[in-house]
Amino acid sequence: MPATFLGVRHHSPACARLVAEAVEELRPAFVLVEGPADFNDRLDELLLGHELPVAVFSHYRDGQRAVSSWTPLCDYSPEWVAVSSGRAAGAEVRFIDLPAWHPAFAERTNRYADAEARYAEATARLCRHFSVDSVDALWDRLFETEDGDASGDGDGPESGSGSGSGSGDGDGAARRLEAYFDLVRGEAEADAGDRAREEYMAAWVRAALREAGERPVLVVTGGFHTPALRALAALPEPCGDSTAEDGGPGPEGGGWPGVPAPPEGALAGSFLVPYSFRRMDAFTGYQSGMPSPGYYQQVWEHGPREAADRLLRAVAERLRARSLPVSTADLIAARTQARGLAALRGHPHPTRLDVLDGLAGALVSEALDQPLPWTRRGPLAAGTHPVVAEMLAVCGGTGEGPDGGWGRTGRLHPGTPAPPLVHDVAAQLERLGLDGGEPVRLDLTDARDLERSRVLHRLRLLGVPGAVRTAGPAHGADPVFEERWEPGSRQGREAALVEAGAFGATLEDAAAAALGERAEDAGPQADRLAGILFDAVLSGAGELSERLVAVLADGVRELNDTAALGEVLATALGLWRHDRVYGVARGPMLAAVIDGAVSRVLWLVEGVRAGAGAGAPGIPPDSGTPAVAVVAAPVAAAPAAAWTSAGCAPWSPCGTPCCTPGRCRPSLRRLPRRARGGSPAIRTPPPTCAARRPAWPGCWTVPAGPSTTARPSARRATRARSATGSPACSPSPARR
Amino acid sequence: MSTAEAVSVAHAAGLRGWFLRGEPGNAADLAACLAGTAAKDSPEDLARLRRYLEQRVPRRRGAQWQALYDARDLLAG
Repeated sequence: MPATFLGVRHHSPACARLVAEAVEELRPAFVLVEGPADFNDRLDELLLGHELPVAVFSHYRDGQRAVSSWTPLCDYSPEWVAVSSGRAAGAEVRFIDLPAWHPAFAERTNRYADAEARYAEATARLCRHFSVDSVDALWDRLFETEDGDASGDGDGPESGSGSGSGSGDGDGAARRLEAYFDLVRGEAEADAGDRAREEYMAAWVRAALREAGERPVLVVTGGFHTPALRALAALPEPCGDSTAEDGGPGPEGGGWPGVPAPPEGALAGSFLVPYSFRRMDAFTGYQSGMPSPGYYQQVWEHGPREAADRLLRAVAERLRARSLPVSTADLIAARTQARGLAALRGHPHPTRLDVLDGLAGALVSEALDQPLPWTRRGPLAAGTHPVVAEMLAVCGGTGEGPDGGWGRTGRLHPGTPAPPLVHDVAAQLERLGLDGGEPVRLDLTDARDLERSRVLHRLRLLGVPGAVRTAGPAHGADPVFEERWEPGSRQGREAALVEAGAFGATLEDAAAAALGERAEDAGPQADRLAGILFDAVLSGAGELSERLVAVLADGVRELNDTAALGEVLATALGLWRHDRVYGVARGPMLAAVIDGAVSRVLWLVEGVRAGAGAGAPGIPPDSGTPAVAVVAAPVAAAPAAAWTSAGCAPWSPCGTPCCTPGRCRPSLRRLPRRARGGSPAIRTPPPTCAARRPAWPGCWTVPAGPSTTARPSARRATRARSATGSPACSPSPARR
Repeated sequence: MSTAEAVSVAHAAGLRGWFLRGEPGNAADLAACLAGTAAKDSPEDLARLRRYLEQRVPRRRGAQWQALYDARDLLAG
């Protein structure tokens, strides 16, 4: 009996339903699922009874490259349904895809990314034909509607259908899926990685067919691969060559293809880690699967018709909880628009995008700087309209609401083996002598102690209990060089480490990823951003993660409080110029933050001049003077500092050089430089920003009001900034 | 800025360039004409406009944007 191929889209509730129906109907002997074949011996682990979403986290490290990737599974993943319902129906379940470390997965961190996103030509044509903006809209329109029939000539919607029985006629949906994926695959020439995977999967299918004899075999893979698999599986057996090519040991007993083994000397492994909707939603671009996991969880549980109503309700509740005005009239308008759009687009009921468009139409009355985020793929841009951002947060299950919103965070069964982070942490603690549990006293100017401090801070950032800092530098300009850590309660330490294992395989990566997530949550709040910035410095994470740098710089650019911004800037600038202890001087993270903060301060200060009512939001007219006084000094100093890296003209806010070059330079050169042959860090406090420019604050007489004080700083700074373009100017005296 | 105001600014900029120099209007003419139309009677609007010219315009690429930025002092008021 030939195999039944079911092409699915990853994380699609409609496909999950089809898989469940197919398993029910066929009662197959074998269920073959796209997933890491090296996890086959441990499928039992997957079925221990976790709270979904969970992910299979795979990591690999050899001399050349280090890779980590995730295979996320949630309640409505077709793969999960195939594994769980297949097992329940008594079938043998196998993962049949190459292991995640295989070169076929180079550059991919999400196994269940949408393959068709990489072959956009056919989908772009389909989008044009159906007049929709994105693949997601196309998919919703074709497959995620209740009767699933876009042309509307079906039996009509099955009203009142509850969970699990949403799609009208399974056959029709399956046929449409097949046609869709045939079309998408149509002319696309798969890349080498996909071809290798398809050949490997086809070898499993052939083996299963041989094994099954007359019993049915169900193959559940990404729909993009199905047409190729069907063709490949029909070919005669190529004498087991395909597996040998992949480095596997060849067919083992029973005729199953071998699982390729990682090369000698490489470290590879897979572990289950808890996952969350916000992380599923965070994959972007080529890495992304279906968006809005929170919404599709509702579709899976309550059917698409009900989910649309719930979405409208959830958005209204959330916006009202945030004190954003949503009137009854707005909601009536939103619902009317959603219905109207659904009718116009030929949907039997409002889909995700109908509701979102309706809400945007009713609730957003300002001009938007950019297209609505669901019309394209990519991360949420900075400056997205707050209402739109809240709407997406509801859909994604990424927000924290009073009731926790639609977000889900997975939890592993206690009996699950530990991820690599646990071992990495244990090894690092042992190497640094921190595993004893006695109080630690660290001298931050000592290289080894600094490393120990970083490890402890990283553990703190990951929320791993065990050590508590009782003394140490409290902010960026704090001249304290000693840290003390007391042993704390170690309860829950292992569990916290396992959970943190989803962030990365090593402590450095995991801490940087965790910090990046926190920074994204913080939004434009100065105190939280400052805390994260300082944590990044303490843990040495900022120099590792480009994402963190970008998020922090974006956050700074949206701050509205000039005084707070000035404080952030003063701290960042002090560290950027003088820090030798943590080694962040001249680092990219602080440079990005300073750049963002300076432009933002100039923008806000320029607004002060507009007078009452039109000022920058953070500066009430009567409090203009102190705010300006706070920001004046660091802003005045910042551009000069930023330019020293570009080799630009000397400049000081009072118009005269604050110190003559001849006197200044030697004393500055006496400072040890990390860059100069890695000299050990100094034991005396590095001069802080304030100490280095005693004369400057005096230059700032603040006589009358905001308008007279703000202008010179802004003007001069802007003018001086426009001088940065000249590359020939001499190094400034402040340059070190 | 309404369409009528935009038309008015464009007309004024062109007229100014042609009357004074016998050339088409340039970015400097635009800057000089903006105050009369776009920001008339409203110091707030004028401040907003100045802020935009001072800070957003220099970040735009292109020769015309740069010319407008260089001519920002011509914004009256």
